[in-house]
Amino acid sequence: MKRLSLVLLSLMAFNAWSDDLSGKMNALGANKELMNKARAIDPQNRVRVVQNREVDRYYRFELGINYGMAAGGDPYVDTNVLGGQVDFHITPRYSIGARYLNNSNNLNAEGKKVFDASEREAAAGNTNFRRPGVDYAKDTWLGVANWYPIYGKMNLFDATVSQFDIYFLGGAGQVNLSSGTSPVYTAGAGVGVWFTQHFASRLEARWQGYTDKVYDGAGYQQRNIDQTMLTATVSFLL
Amino acid sequence: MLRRVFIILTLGFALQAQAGQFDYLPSSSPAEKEFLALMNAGNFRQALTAWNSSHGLTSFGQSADGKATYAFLMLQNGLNLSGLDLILSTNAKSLDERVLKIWKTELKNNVFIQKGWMQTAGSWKSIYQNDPVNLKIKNAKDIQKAFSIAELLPKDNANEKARVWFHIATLAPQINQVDSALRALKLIRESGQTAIGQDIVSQAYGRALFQKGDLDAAMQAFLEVPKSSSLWVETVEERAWTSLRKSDFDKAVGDTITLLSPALAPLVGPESYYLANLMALKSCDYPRIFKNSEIFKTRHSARLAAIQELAKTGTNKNINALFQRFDDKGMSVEGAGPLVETIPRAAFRDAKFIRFMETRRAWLSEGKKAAELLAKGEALGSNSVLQRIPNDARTISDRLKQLAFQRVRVLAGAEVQEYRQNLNKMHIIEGEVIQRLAVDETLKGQRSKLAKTEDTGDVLVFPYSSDEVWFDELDNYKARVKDCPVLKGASL
Repeated sequence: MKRLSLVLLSLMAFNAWSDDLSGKMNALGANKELMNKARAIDPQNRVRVVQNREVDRYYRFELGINYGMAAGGDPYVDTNVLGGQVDFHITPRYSIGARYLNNSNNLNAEGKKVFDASEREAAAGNTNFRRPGVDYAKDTWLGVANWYPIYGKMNLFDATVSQFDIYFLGGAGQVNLSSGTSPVYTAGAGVGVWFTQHFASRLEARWQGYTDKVYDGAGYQQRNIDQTMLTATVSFLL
Repeated sequence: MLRRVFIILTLGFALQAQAGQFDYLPSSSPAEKEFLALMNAGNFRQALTAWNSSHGLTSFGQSADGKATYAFLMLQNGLNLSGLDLILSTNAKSLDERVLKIWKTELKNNVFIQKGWMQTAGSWKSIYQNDPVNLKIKNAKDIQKAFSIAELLPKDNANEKARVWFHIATLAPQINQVDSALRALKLIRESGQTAIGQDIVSQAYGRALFQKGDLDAAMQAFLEVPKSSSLWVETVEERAWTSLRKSDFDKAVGDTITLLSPALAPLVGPESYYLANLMALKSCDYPRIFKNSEIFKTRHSARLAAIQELAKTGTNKNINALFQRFDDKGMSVEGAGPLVETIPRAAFRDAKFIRFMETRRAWLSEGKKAAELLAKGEALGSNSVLQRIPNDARTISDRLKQLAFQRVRVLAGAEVQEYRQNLNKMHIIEGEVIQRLAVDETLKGQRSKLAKTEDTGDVLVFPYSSDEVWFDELDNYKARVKDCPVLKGASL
């Protein structure tokens, strides 16, 4: 009987003790007037997130394979490009590089229409027609410098976070045309996403300008070409 | 040519050594010869099945060497605990030298022996000692005695030495013998032991150095604990305490923001909230005190009730589901998953609780394996030792579950006490705030302006938002804390 009363007493004591604890927790910050008073003297301390770059880009080579398309250029030709590139990252802000692009050219619908029409006229023995001249780029070599002033990061499907840089580039090189060679200049912007220490990708849009030659019936005429190149690159950091 | 000869000779010696390992086995009958061939070929699965027909009823099978061989086969077939149980019941002194050599190697490599989850007994103690360390350390003399005990242990038993040293490292600071603790930790680091995790050693180092007052070294030790460790959250709190002691409020607040992040809410205890409020009090950031208290109430009210119920009754509504998860996925925070708050935080590091749960899991697995082996071996007759395992495993694992429940109830009681202490301290802080807001004239003064930010190196800076937490940002918060307001005195 004595033991039973002792057990009951300790259970009641524990009950009271634990209820007291929940009450103590609820009493925290319960004084609303005090809270308002405190808010009036908010020090407005600052907090920011400061983190290192996940991918080290000091003195590292980046080798990439790119694929894309050209808009502009000869009005009768569609061009896709496949090429390679190498960049040397001096710091995460600056890199220099070289690009090689091999062009795959085809007559577009309008070009086909015009050329087919001229073939038909020629077959019919008609000499009073004009066959349009085309000039197209076979491949391009470029030297570029990149500047990466803007950084950010993105949540990839809740699986990982990848940092990226938006960059601007400028450069010059040589384009091999069907009519010969010509210097080429380029400027543009892109975004590079650094997935891991060794794997990255880029999306780039740039202008490139050069001069080609087109036969207009009387002779070869120089023509200024302004192209927009859109490329996607998969690259490996060494 | 010479190289080829060398390779052939080396392989030959290796094969000979392998072949000699089981030469003690009798091989007079065809069944015994076949058994020996299976053992030499390393085909232990088949050997276990062939045991009954070759040695089951022979005098060798009933001898100590026979039992030791059968125990070895059980070990090789995933019946770890049953095999250990059998071998530890034999007399090591009556074993053939070759059998003893096999078992010396097995015991050294066995995780249950190395972690002390299964203790060696009788004559096996002189071969491998893994008793839990039970040294009383009340003064410097006791510490020297403990060091001597570690010194006397065999050189190849680094794990047992490390257990003794760790005992010294954790008890010596309690009698203010910090230098002895640091010496013991240094010995642990240099010993090549595998019984105590490096993260635990680094944390112990940090605590000893904190007590010694070497705060910079303590901070470095805490930073050694990687994010992948189960101790990392605790070391973030210890780093915050270290920064507070150094009066580096910027760093301290940055660490408490990590601790109070919603992503870590299930893993963080009441002391972190008390620490955050203490930090806010010291920097006169009173609104933050109330904000932290609100967060604490929101996150911990239900948990406190669950832990209180566990301490009072020995169970709560989720505990059975949690234990089932531990059986399926192992005893860890990851294994607990969404039920991690159901049991006291200390359970994930409590040596006894971990031993009960991991051993239980191993027994459950052995019961299943033994049943599978019996089903496969039925055609050749079954061994009585193997037959008992499923039943024994069930009984032992039920008993271990009971012990685990008892242990977790004790830990729950300690956690309720922790809540009580920290709630009391948080109320004291609120009392201090009331007093200051009522009578402290300096609050009418001006605070210092925030210093210009200087982030060294090529770092990325992002804005902080308490509503959206990115996992990669944890532990990367940097605060800029203003000083308390100061009243400027009048001048003539």
